[in-house]
Amino acid sequence: MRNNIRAELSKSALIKRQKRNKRLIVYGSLLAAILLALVVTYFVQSANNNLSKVLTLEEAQEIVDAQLSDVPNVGMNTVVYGENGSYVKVDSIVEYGTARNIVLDCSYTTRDYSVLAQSLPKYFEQAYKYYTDRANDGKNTTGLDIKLKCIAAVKEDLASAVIKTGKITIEIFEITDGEFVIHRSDEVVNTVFSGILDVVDLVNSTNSIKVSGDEIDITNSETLRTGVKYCFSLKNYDDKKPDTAIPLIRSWNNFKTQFHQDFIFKNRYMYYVNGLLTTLALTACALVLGIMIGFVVAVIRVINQKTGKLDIAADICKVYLAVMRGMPVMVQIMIIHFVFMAPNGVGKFVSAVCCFGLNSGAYVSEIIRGGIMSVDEGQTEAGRSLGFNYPQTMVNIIIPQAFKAVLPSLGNEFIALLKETSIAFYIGLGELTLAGIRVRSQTYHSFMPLIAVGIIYLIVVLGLSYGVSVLERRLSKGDKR
Amino acid sequence: MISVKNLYKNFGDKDEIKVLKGVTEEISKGEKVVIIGPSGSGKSTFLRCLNRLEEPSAGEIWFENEEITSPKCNINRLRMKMGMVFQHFNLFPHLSIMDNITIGPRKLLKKSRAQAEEEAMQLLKRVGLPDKAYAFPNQLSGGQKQRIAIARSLAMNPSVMLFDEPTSALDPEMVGEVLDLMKELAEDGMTMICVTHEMGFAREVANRVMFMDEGIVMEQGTPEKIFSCPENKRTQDFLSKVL
Repeated sequence: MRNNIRAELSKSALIKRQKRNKRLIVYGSLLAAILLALVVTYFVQSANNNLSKVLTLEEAQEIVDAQLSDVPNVGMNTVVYGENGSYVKVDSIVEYGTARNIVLDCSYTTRDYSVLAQSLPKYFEQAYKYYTDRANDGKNTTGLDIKLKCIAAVKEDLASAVIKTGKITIEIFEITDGEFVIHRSDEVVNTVFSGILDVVDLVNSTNSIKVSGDEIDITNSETLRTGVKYCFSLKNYDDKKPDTAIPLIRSWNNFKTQFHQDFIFKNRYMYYVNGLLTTLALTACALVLGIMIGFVVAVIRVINQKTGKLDIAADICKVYLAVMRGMPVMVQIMIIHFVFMAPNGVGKFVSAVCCFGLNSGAYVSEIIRGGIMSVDEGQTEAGRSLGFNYPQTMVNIIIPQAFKAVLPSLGNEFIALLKETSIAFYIGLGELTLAGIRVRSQTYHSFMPLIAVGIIYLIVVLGLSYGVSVLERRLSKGDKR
Repeated sequence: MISVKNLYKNFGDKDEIKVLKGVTEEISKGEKVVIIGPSGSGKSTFLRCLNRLEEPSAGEIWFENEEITSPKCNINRLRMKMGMVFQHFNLFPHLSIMDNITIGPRKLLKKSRAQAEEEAMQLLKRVGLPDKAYAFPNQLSGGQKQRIAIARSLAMNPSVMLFDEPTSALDPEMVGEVLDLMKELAEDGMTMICVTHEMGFAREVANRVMFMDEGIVMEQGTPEKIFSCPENKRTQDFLSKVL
């Protein structure tokens, strides 16, 4: 007999273990499949990382021309790329790389733009006079006005500039399939537009000029510098090599950058922390208010239902319920805040507490009313027969039992309320949702701020659900049999 | 002690269901009255009217020289002196046995917790359940629950006890323990009014047995008279079926 039991026990243990093993196998293989998929993606993309096509010399020349003619500003430029200015000729394609890049050997022709540096004081003087003359006439002067005034002198100087030739290597990168960019580094730009960056730097660092022998401080005259720069200005270029890393790594790098920007940079995590605290405080206050209102309304309605007394109060309660349950919360919060509270100088938090308290009070009252009605009539009779009056019976006997009965529903109401408070962002209350929205508006990233907010809500709600179930278990000790 | 004059009770929106049709009774101190009768005869309603759990439709009830039925009467104060035991016990499930017994004395008689609990312990010993003081009602059997319910009523130190079919919801083997306790109570001189179907109990304990049917008291008298030579035809019918 005993052996049989033992055999049964070991059998059930065996089944349990087999089940657990089965589950482990399933989860393990799922995990392995995901890892495998990632690895496969990685290799497939690495394999794709070679150049999508072999470039001919002509195609390479087209790319270089397109990208370098893009460097000087459009419009009436003094510095130009092409026949009359600087030009690069692709001589040969040196090497096809494995990481989607090509090195080109090129020869260039350019003018020595450093001649402009010598004439800078002249341009500044001319610009300054023009500027002050117009200022005396009461007119404003923009950088573009100065450019129009000075460009003739700049062109004249450039015509006499020395023509230089030389050799340069330029790198081409394939960013996506069939789309190429060249690496417009300082070196490339300064060689092709010989010495132009030095001139720009010089303009930027000019803080005083001489006009008719007088020293004049132009530290704050940004317009003058801009105007002079406009005469030979360049479009922005970046010194960073194009990101041709394999996509997986590129995503990871993006991920790290975004994470840094969305959470760490400028202490942005404080938005979420403060938002969460506000949300929790708002929910707690609103729930306390809601439960108080709910209790009062529920008791009034129960008394009315059972004894027919308090009919005016009960009618008021019915109107309250109809109003609170018949309107979207978003409309309610805007009405409460913008119509009633804000004009009287009441803050957003108080408005939000009032709105959600009143709103959840309507739902809580129905929950509690159900709870009170669910308590056996015999309990009231027993209480009354001991000599308790109706309110004492309610407080000592009915409501504790009703509360226990409705605790799960109240917990759910609390959780629903917590999620509902996200609407408070509409009146500009800095709760959790608004935190996500603010970060999003600063970084233009949607993914991380919103997912983070969602996950925080999820964690809090799961924690609360757990708390409610613990409380429920503790309160149910009278139900043990 | 209790006198009932011309008591009427109607139910329904238009008072169309007439349950009590003029009951006039006098119950004196120390008396043990057992009310018997078929279902729907109005015996429970009569009992519940005595402490106004049901509002009488007409008639007067006097308890210790106060008119219970008058609107000026403070019924809550009078109810403290009238213990009531229900068919379905109606213990408070959210409170421990100790709290079930002490809640009345503490909140209504303003006794200290220590004093109330000491008296409750004595009552628990009296009903034979001192070890259940900190259990909860749902952990007890039906008979135990009813004994606790009696102890809860006694804790208010009532001058009369009303029993509304106290053994009807019990398993047969648990009826005995409750009846024994009620007999002890009777021997101690408590005034008792009991609605029951336990004819043995009626015969043994009652001073007076009342047979009710169709909302009036058909016949009453000592148990010997009612059980051995009933005069009324309905009483004879009823007793022949139940005995």
